[in-house]
Amino acid sequence: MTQPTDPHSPPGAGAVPSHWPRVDGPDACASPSPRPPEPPQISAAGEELASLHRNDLVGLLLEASALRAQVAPFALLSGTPAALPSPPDWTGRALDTIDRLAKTRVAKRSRATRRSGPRPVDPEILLLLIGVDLHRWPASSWLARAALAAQDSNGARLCLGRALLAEGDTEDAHRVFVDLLRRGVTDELRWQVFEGIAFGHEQRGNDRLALVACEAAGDAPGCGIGPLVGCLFLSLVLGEAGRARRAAARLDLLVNPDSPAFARELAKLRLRVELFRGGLPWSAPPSTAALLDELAGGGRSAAEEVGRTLRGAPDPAPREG
Amino acid sequence: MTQPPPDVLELLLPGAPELQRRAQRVTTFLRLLLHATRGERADAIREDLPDARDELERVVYDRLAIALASLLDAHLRARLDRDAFVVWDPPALGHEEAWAIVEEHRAEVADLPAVPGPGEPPLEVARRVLVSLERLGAGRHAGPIAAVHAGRFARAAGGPRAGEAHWRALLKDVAPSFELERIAVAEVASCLLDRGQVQAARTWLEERMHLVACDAGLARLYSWSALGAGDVDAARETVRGLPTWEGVLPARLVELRERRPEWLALLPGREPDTASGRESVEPGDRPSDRGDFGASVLGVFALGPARSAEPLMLDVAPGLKRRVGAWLREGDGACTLTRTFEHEVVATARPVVTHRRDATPLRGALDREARALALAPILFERGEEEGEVAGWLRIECAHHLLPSTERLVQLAATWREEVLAAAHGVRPEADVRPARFGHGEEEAAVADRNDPRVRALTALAGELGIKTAQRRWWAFEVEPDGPRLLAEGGGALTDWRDRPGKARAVQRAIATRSALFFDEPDERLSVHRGAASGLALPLVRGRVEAVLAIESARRRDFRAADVERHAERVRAFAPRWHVACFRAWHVEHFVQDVHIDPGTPGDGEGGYPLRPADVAAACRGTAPVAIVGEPGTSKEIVARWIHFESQRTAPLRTIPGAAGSGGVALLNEAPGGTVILDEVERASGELQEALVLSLRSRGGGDRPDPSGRRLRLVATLSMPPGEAVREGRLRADLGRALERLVLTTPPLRERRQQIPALVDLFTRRFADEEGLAEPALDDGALALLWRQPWTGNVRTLENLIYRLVLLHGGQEVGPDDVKAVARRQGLELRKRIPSRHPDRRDLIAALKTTRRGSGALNKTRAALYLGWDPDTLVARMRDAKLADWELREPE
Repeated sequence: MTQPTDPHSPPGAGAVPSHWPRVDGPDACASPSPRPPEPPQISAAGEELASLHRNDLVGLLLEASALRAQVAPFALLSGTPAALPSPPDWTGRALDTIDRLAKTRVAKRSRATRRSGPRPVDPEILLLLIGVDLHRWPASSWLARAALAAQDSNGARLCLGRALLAEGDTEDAHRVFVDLLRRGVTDELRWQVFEGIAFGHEQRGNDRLALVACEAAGDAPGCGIGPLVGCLFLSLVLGEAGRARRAAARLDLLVNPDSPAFARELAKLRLRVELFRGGLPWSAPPSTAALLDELAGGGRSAAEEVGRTLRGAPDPAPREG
Repeated sequence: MTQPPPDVLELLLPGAPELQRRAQRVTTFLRLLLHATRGERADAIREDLPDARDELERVVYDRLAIALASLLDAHLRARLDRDAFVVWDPPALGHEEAWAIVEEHRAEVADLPAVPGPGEPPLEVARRVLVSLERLGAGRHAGPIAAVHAGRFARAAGGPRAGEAHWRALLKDVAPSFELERIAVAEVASCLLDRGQVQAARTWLEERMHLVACDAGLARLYSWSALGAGDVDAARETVRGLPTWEGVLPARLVELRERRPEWLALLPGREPDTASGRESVEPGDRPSDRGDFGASVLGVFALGPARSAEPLMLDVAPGLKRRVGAWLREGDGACTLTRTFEHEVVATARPVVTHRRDATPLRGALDREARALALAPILFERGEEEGEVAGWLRIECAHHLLPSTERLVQLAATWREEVLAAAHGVRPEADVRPARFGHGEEEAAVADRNDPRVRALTALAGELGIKTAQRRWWAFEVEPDGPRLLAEGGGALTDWRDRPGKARAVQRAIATRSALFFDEPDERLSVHRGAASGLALPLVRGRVEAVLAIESARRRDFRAADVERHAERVRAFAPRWHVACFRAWHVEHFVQDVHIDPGTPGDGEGGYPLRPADVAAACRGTAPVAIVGEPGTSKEIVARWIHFESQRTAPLRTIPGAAGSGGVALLNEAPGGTVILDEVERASGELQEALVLSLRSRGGGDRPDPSGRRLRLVATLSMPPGEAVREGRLRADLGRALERLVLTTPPLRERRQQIPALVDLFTRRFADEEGLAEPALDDGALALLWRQPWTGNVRTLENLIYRLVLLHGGQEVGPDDVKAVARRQGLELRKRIPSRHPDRRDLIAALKTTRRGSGALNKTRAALYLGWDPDTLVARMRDAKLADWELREPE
């Protein structure tokens, strides 16, 4: 096979401009000896495998971003992430993935196509994180942007929004969340997007819009516990007794007070009030003080747990699960 | 064996013989490649040629869509007025740049709009651009952009109602994307706010708060709607933490911000550019439906005769309809009452806008729940009344988002023709003769300086204490066809006849019955064109009878406190003015000035005990009046006064009581009006009978007699009617008729305080009649006259003064001169008032007559008037235990 030449490149240059469409593997440029073409089935399988490995790498990066967000300044406002691995677990999986990629031809192909194909995910990025203390990882938003550049997805954008919230960049976070709504999201993501918008407003001191966004999150199917707790709390803050009662009823209907997830949300609520609302025990405005008393003095429903938490009740025993 | 890749340029440039198109495609392809090197469109480049071409096309169409959208934005904004709530993002491209892009692609894309022709209306241009955009967007992602601008076009072309309908239909029929829904919701809210439907806008947004939470523009709209509804807390909470907005604020919100500076933080933004937006009103803009403003009351009023407000159009909320009648009656003549909005708009000829600050209803509002109220004047445009108020547009809203004053004035002007036709008051074409103001040649029309009114007004100008070196004053009498100059004075602005202003301040003072002042030069307002400041003070007694105008050559020469003080003095002057008018009338009809002093009502201490209520009762109807008093107590003058107050335009006839059958004839011939029967107790039986018959057939009744056909009898007697009947001097039925209303004129000795004024009056009169100079009576002479018993009352005094004038015209007159003249008259003057048991009234009269100008008592002089030494006076004062109130001047 003769080497294709570029009629516009200077004579003797030899190198093929990177923007030219390729009909042969990149190694054909570097290696003087021609390589036999792959059968189409092998190529397709290779592409599929490359895609899968890309997914793995992006997933690891997003998990890294979420882990890093947990130690960011405003971590508790960053939303309700999916279950995260522990840092050691994450490290083990990352090492496995790096090892796997290093051993396969696909990895080599990926490295070779990095100049002309979609922006590759350099597995070496993960090496920056392995063995380094979590607090010294690159910023959560940086990690999320790296994942997003490799593979644009609504999940990655959601992760970026949460990362920005955790870092206190509420304006950029808001833009990311609203952009997600423009693109269209599934119900599963919708409530998380509105949860993020709510936190951003609350961070900026706008409890009214925060409550509205919380309620929008709560109205989305499959809503997590965070927005439901948020609706109740913000209604009490704003003195809207009617809304608070509705939120309490919804919380009781949908949430098991014994679940570990609920316990985590109560812990976050406790921290939130300690850091931003003057500390516990917290006092509601006059129009909702009676309701808070009622909740705090009640039994063990989810809403009543919230009431007791706000009144400064100690953290209950850790729940199994 | 692989084939060499074909020439890329040949791949992408097939069948393009024209050099220009080829070059254009090359350029575009290179642009694509540039995107590819940045990694943005690398995928497209790796695909095959049709996809590359699609990509090329998409870039071109994207660019055109943005350019056309920018052009649409610019032209549609030009159609919306500055009050409109426009929350569009600024156009992505400037006007020239956008047209340049259109021209660049005109050859390859069909149906692009042509550049606007000269004078082409913005809406027409927008229509053409929209058609192109819709064709461009069909099947492509430019489609949503076209849908957005179609909605905006509907609003610009048809107004906010049409815009709102379009957007609601779009939301209902199409399942919009998040972005389109957001825009549509914002547009509907904007259209509602444009029409003042504040609560509807708020409710609309509250039902979509999840979008409000996502978008700062929607949050701002919600905040404005909450603010407009008076819910400041909600407005504040909604925008907390949002980035400060630097866009253009609707003009009405800019004005609201100026009026309520405490809301500055809730109304950030720039003022609209003065060159932006639609300036003129169109026929469809004429306000007749309060729903176009979200108003509870919308009305157009013309300023009618007697300053009444005549409603030409009134649209009120259903819940207020029951109150309209009472409200119109209460507000009749409101422009003549200070502190009403109608008064302010007529007095200033400027819009009046007010916003409620607390729970107190707005003064004079029909809607007690109104939060804002505005009156926009409609002015005369031609003639003498140019710039004066012919009527106004009134709007009351339960929200704060009133249209801007500029817009209100424009809207009010659409009613000008009807208002001018209905305004009966001062017409633009009225023959307001300049000579009435003393301009031009008719200076002779200015009243005689001896006119009692001129003297009274001159005295008033002096009493106001204004320094006249830099000022000038004019006094105008208000006659049915306009003001007439009566008197003037002052050291400045003397050339006002050569440099006349329009004197609108005088007109407005008449119209509004209240003081007006201006502190900057305004030749429309001033009498002298060059006056730098001035004020006009109306003299009101029932109607505006006169106006005192004072102007200065200096700016800001009159402070508000001065104006109020002068206005108060003018108000207090009103009774004296009225007396001056009577005296002028008396001079005109009887060639004789008179003295009449209402004095302190009812105290009988030196003043006329003619209680105002009695006089008013006497004047109101045509019931017979009896005036009882000793001879010489000016009963006939009081009778003439009653005629003047009640029906001065009707005939007045005096029949002496001793007239006999001649009197009967006079009585029967009297066509109506007032008949004064002097000394009726001396009338013959025939005359008395004729009187009774006349009263039965033509007289009596307490109701006014505007036709003047009834006969009003005013009879003077030297004794009460009852006593005359008992003495057989008066028929019983006539006595009963006369007893209904009896006024008593006290003898002169009981009203000594009037003696100095009477002496002055007679001195002047007789000197004038005889062509002599007035004698100057010193205080001793005056005191001597003051302390006499005057058993013959005013007549005796009058005769003595007449002789004094004849004998001592132009000379100093002392007590000895007075005694000598009195002796010749057979009068023996007493040296003093008896001091042993003096009449309390004499003590009080002496102290009041000799009071100093400051109001302090002058006991030495009072003792002189009484003929005592001061110690005697002090002792007698102590004995009489005079109270402070007895010595107080009447207010």
